[in-house]
Amino acid sequence: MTDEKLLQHARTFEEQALAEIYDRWSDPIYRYAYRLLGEKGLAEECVSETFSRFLASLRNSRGPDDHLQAYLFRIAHNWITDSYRRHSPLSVELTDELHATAESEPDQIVAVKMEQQQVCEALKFLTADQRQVITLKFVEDWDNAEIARALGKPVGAIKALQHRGLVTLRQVLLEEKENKK
Amino acid sequence: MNWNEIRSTNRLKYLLHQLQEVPAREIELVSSGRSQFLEEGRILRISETGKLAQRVIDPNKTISKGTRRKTGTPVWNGLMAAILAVVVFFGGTAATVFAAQGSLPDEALYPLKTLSEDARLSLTSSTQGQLNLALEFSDRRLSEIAALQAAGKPIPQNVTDRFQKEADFALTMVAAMNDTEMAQGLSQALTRAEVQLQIVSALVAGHPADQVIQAVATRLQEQIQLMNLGHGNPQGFRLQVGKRANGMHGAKGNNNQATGTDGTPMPDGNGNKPMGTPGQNQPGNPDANMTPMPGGKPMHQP
Repeated sequence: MTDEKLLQHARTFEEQALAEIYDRWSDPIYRYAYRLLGEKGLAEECVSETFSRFLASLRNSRGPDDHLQAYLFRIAHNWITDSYRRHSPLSVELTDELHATAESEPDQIVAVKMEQQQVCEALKFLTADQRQVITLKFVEDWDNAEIARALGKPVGAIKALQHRGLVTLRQVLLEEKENKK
Repeated sequence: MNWNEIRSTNRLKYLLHQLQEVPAREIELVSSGRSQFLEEGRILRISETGKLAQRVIDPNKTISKGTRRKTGTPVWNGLMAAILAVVVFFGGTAATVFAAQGSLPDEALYPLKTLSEDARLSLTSSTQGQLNLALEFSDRRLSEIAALQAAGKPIPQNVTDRFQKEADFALTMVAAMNDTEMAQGLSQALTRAEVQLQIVSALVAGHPADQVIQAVATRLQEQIQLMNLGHGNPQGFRLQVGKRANGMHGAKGNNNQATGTDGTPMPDGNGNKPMGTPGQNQPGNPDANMTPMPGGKPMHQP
């Protein structure tokens, strides 16, 4: 079902449409939230709050006419931004599930985990907007137009945030390397 | 990490891409989150229906917005055309029919609303379709009850009776399903009943002395218990629903003439009501004694 059709049914709170919306986007929103918040509980809270706010927007006759994914991620984005204020500093913890495949040698697993840990640590130094743009672009593989819709910013601003984010990341990782020398 | 590579944007992007995997969600949390979301949706759906009823109470507000939602589907349009013919025959107008859809039990057009509901049920042949309608109509009754209470008006007994009969009819539809379908039907009806109980409980809390609402709450609790039984014991559920249906029917007598408690004529069930019609196949209902329409009378019928 297209976004437009889904939204048309969701506006009258039809169970089937709501269930499809939840089933389609709750996992992606969870993954997005987890990467930015680094905590399962907070990520689940983000999912729950995102869908609750979505219903509230429908109730108030607001909400999108299409691009539902962007709209839901925008709600999640706002919630995560608020969460940064409530739960700073960001604490990203890696688990053994991350890239520790059965084929990996122990030393490779350790190396991969270290790299990931360093990148996660470096992400902390980005602004909230930069972090979200970088995550959506390079982890979620979204294009700039989708990110712009989700974050409610022009594509140009997204490109700028992306550029500055990458510069900062590179800078932080290089500084870390210098400090370890 | 090759630190020289950090200077390469591609390497940085590769490292970021490696963060794609996240720990799996806990199934229980996903399930409860989903249920909570859908329940919120149901409450809003009921609430919106209540607002629709309220709009009709207020003579200063137009009914057109409220009736718009009823005019969209071809099935509905076809049904309305049939009802329109009846109404016009009796001297009514198209506007009468549409206005009736938002009417409350204390209004003149209300019987037309229940008539159209009965017509929709009559035109629905599948057990699942009838279950959906029964649940939808029971939500409507609840909205009417809430709207009447909000307006400080008395709640007529016939409305709560009809609500209970629709809820019982939903159970009967579930009981008529085979075991696989029943599991899904039970979940559907149970979730709805639990939300309805929340709403009724809120109504009881607002008017603790109201015996009519209290009785509705008690009946809903019984239905929820029965549905919980059904999850573990489908056959026991069918038997209990059958007993319940026979008890209800016996208490009301075995009138073949279908007349609602509100005086609204209702379908006679002779070939119009798929469920329980003698000789009609009821797939998945292995208990012939549990035919959910004793005496050929539709179960939703008062």
